[in-house]
Amino acid sequence: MIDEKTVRDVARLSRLEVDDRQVEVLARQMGDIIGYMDMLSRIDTENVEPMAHVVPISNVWRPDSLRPSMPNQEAIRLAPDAEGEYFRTPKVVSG
Amino acid sequence: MTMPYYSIGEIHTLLVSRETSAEALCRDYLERIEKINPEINAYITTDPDGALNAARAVDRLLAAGEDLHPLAGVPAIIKDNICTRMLRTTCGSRILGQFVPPYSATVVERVNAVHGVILGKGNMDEFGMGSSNENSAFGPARNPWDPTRVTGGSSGGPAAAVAANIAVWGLGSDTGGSIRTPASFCGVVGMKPTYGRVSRYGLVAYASSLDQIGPFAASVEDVAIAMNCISGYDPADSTSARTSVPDFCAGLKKGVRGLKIGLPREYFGEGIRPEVSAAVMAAAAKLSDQGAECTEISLPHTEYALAAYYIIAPAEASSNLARYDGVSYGSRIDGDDIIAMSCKTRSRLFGMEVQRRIMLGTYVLSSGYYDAYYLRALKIRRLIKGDFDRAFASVDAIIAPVVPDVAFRIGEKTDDPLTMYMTDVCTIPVNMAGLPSLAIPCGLVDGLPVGLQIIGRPMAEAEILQIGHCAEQIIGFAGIANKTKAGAL
Repeated sequence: MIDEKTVRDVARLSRLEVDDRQVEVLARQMGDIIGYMDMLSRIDTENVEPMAHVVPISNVWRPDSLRPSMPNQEAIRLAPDAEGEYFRTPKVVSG
Repeated sequence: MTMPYYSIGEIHTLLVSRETSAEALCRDYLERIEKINPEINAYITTDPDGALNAARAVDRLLAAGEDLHPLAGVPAIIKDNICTRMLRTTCGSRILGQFVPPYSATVVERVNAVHGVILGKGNMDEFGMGSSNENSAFGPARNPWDPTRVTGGSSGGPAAAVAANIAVWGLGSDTGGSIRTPASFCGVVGMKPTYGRVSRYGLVAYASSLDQIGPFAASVEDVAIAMNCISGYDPADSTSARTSVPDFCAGLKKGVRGLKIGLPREYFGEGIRPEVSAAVMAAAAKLSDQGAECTEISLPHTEYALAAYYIIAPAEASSNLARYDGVSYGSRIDGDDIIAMSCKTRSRLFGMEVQRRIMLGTYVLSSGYYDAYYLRALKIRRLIKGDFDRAFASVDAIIAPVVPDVAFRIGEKTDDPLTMYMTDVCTIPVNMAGLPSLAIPCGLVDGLPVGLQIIGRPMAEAEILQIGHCAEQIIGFAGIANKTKAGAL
């Protein structure tokens, strides 16, 4: 069961805006989906190790040496808003 | 203009014998795209200039007497979540609608290095999230067999392009079935390689522990040729495998005598349309006639795979897609402060399925639910992998349906996400276990293609291609395909 408050909380955490109609639809759809997932509680996983990844890779190192990186102008070209060599955003800190 | 369904080998022969030029061939395909793509919508972006330049380079090599790689001059389509330098890469999303990557994916570099000709970028469900290609911001790709039906997803564009012969081969990506499902619905061959076999560098991430790039083509041999080009270790992808790459074409004709093939009973029962099961079983019987030994096996945790996947994949997606905040790249919708800007950008430029999965992922990772959902799903993942490990102790490969039914009608399942998710029930376990799987067409039901998949041990692509090649020869689908496709277009 997912209520509308949960949907609003999750949307806020996800940096998404949802209107009242979407909240209602999402509560129902997410409720259906999470309800389906509750089938997983039927199975005993007490002594099973979680598997985040099929390939047992731990740290993958590369030599810590200088190498060419993407030119600043290339990266800035992609920005929705930029000034000089900086990304420009609306204000970040209030007050 | 009609165009034969050339194989990669046939095109190579035409080019090397100078019966046609790469440029003429490229122009023919571009012309076909102009005629056919408005109906099929397989391409989001075409790149006539880039394609013609690549083709002319091939003609210069030929004129200079250079040897050609089999893929040189062969027209291809690349799924639009694989970065192509200076060629728009939208991921099927409005948020990347104007994104022109400053670099190419490793697989694209590999295709360019052998002088492949990239015609354009293939339609897809937004960020790979979908089973039908209906979640594309650029409209659904349409099935060449019946344009009122879906292509399957998420790599619908490349599959439809190969089926409609507006590309000879293509590259897609498969997170929970996104290569195999559209291959099955469109009657073409598609391979999801072992996790780590092909570099993911430059593939826009959806669920990084599951994503894998792989090829589409009209035949198993062509898929093997493409696998030879794209496989291998890449230092730019820390999950890519340092395993040597065999010649995937070398053993294609070895047949199936003595091979043990498992038929998992969980994939042939409830929820699978009986005619689909029958077509797959009939193909297995034909492989038995060729000397394979088919036995029933069990993969007992299969029924839990779908639920576990739709926890793990959205969880990874909610993290991967956090980067689309309107700051450094992608599009932006303005807001009063940075949070308002970010929220507006994401909610207006992501489609509903993407937003739903981000929210599902955020929910299952949030405190209080993490153990009950995410951690439990990771444990189920190990159980699913264990099922396959046990099976492969006694069989060499596993044959199963790809999708429970044939291609459905556009719009039929869009109102109910959970029903749409069920499309992936036979493909998801393979991604959860990181295994290779080859989808090939095995018959028609209601005049629409049915696919079977051949699942192999890790890094055993050569073996499943060998089985697939044998199956393809005895099923004789190519003959049926050419007739039916011509009717649809």
